[in-house]
Amino acid sequence: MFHSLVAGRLVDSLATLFLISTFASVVARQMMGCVYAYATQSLLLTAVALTLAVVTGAPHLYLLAGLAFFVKALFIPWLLKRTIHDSVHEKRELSFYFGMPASLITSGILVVVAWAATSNLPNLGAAALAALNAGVGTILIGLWTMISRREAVPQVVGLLCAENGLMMAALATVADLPLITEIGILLDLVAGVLIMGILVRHMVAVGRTTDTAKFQRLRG
Amino acid sequence: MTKAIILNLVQFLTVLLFAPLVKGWINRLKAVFQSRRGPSVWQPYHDIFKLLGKQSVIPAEASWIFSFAPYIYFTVPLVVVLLIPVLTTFPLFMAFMGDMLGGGFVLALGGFFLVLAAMDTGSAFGGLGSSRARFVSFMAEPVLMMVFFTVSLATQATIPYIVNKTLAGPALLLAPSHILMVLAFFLVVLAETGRIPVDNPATNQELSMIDEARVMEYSGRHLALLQWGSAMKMFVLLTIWWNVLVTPWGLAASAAPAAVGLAVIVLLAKMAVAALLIAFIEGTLAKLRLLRVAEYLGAAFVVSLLAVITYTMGV
Repeated sequence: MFHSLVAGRLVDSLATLFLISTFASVVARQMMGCVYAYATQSLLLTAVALTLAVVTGAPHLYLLAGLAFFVKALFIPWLLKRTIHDSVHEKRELSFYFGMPASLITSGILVVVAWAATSNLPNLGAAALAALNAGVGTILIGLWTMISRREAVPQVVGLLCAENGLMMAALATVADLPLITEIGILLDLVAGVLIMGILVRHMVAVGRTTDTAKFQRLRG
Repeated sequence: MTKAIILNLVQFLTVLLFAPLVKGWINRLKAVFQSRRGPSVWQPYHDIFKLLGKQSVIPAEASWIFSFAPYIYFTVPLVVVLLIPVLTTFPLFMAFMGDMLGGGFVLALGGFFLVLAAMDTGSAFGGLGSSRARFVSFMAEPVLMMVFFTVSLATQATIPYIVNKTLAGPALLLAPSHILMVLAFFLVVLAETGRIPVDNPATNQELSMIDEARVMEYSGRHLALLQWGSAMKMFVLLTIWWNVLVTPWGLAASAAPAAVGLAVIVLLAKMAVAALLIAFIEGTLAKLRLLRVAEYLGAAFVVSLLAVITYTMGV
């Protein structure tokens, strides 16, 4: 009983830190900042998965935590870093469609929306609720990042954040999701990031910029 | 009663004597982070001692406010010491004079007089520093309010001693709203004491300076009081952060000299950790551009807002 209480608090707190790291990715002005925020977020996701694994003793959760750590916290950030390092020159100040304060306030509102959407779900414990709220909030904020940023790399990070949020929500609600599904999602993610990395390089090669606002005309 | 007075005096002395030491620790550690040797940790004491012996130059146009403000700025943190648990868990006789909100206002009074004094001389730098300092603190105010809301929701009180006692229980400390609140308060402390992402305390010859521009015209005894006062302000804010919010333990439960002495040592250890944290931030981050400060404090506000939301969520 005591252990589950402590674990509940731990999951609560980790979920909150997870949400803060999402906000960090909204606030980050530099490309590497976005990537580091994502890496931190993945690390926290790993920690949540590990805590749940220790509590429930389910072996597939250990495996999931390990996979999340190696793929999300190490491999994908490394891949993004390489993409940025090789080709992109606009590393420092990113451009936005919306200003930072507007973006922050919108993200705050999105968290409230997520809370309103999830708080009425029956049969969920308080800890699961916090994790679910963090997950759904992160999905929404990730989508918002994809809308509000103009550069390609932060948009990719927005998508990745949304996916992290999805995984958090899945952990919160259905702890025994089949492992094959999780692995499938992770593989998809790696393939997606690879393709997007190549796309970003092509963008740089063609237009010498990663500013998506400048790629608006369709050519047949 | 005499016991309470003696304890209050010990608290005063702790804050008075050790505040410059914390500043010295930060400066030394920051230098170490930047691969320099850095000044001795006693340097702030040397500075204050030397300045106290020097003549104070008062500009010809300045009114009485100019020479009055340093005394207010120096006294104000000591008044706040009456309200907060610096060394003891049990409230001393002035503890119910004001709550955290009141303490915030009292601290703001010092800043207010400094702003007046800076504009009093008519120097361009004074006005510039004043307007910037106001800009920062009026953005910081809502964050503080939100933090106090969260505190009062969680503990049903804003009197620092009661908050300390309630939070010392196991149930509330690891709560998400508490973590968020602690983070938001720390961001505000950095902004209010003019530390790095907001203002660079190491320069006094820069166009971007905030705090240093306000004290530009001061010299001698007055400057010593201002430097000492700002060191005490930081000490007091960090004390609130540690003893009320982060770790409400390690305080003396009785008035026995041994217990109080131990409390002083524990407090200094906490301050050393805070100094390490601040030095790490200062060694690794650059100062933000002035208008970016709004974003920094906006982020702090969102964090404190989240604290309220997560609290009302009941987690």
